[in-house]
Amino acid sequence: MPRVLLLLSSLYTDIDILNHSPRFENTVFDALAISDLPEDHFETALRAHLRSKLDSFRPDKIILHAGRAFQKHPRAVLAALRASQLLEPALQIGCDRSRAVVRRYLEQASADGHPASLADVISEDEALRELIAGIF
Amino acid sequence: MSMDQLITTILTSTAVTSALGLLFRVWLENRIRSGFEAQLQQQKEAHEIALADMEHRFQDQLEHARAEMNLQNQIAQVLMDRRVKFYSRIVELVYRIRNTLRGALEQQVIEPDHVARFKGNIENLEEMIFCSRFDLERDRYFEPVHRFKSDAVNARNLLLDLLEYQQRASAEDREQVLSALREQYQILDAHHTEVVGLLSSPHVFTGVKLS
Repeated sequence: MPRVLLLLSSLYTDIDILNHSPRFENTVFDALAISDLPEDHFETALRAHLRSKLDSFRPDKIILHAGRAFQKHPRAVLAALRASQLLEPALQIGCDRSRAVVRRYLEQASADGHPASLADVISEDEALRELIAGIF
Repeated sequence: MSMDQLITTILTSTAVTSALGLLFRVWLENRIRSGFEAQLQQQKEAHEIALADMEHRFQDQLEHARAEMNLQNQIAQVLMDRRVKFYSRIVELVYRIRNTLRGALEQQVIEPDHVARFKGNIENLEEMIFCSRFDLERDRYFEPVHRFKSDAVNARNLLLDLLEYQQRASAEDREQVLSALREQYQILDAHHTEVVGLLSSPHVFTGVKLS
């Protein structure tokens, strides 16, 4: 059974290349471009899209690219990911930046401070980090 | 009363009336003049105060405008220094990435060293984009630079695939990936021209847009 990966990234990540890659033969990639979500109701839209992807695509892992869209809405993205993990407890969530960096983005994004514990949704599993290094 | 006495009385009365009239006239003139002068003096003083106040306000505004201009100049200088530092580095990395990929495509065999150098340059570019993200956003250059970086990541993934097929000695698959990589190079090359053009334009370093 192939492992299924959902990438939360920008529009320009070519998942076609990844889906044909000999390095990921037993993996199927899908992508959700968070940079494309509406700014005014970003979190609601993200939660709805994630829910739809979870229902239709059933990913084993979600890989987050901590780019501009994430840096603008770190709390919304992490809260949506945590909600997804509550629905699918086996879901592993990785990021192309370490948990410490993600926590810093959270702190920078708001003066009143978001709960830093939101960053804990990001797994620091070594195998997952190695996998991410081959994607982004 | 005799005629003489009558004339004397009339003359005396006329002289007294004339003297009194003259005295009254002088007194009245003096009174009017002093009142007018006092009023004039008052008005003059009021105008002088208003003028001094206006001058003070003008000096204040001038000082404020000067301070504002100095601040704007300092901000412009800081922005310019940051642009010179980061944008020139981004342009250099964009060149290197494009040239490394072109160099790799000219080789018969992809060397792991080539791929490692390519990866290193992308990581450095990511770092530079992160450091200058506010400047790039403000200048509206973030999108093209970010797109170039994504093109480079896609090309890196193809290079890694190519390396993998080389190790497996799978000629047909290798040729397929090589063809995709050549296409990716064309995209990367076009975006490289755009990014270099934008980030090296005189506007970036002078703030003056050339028509």
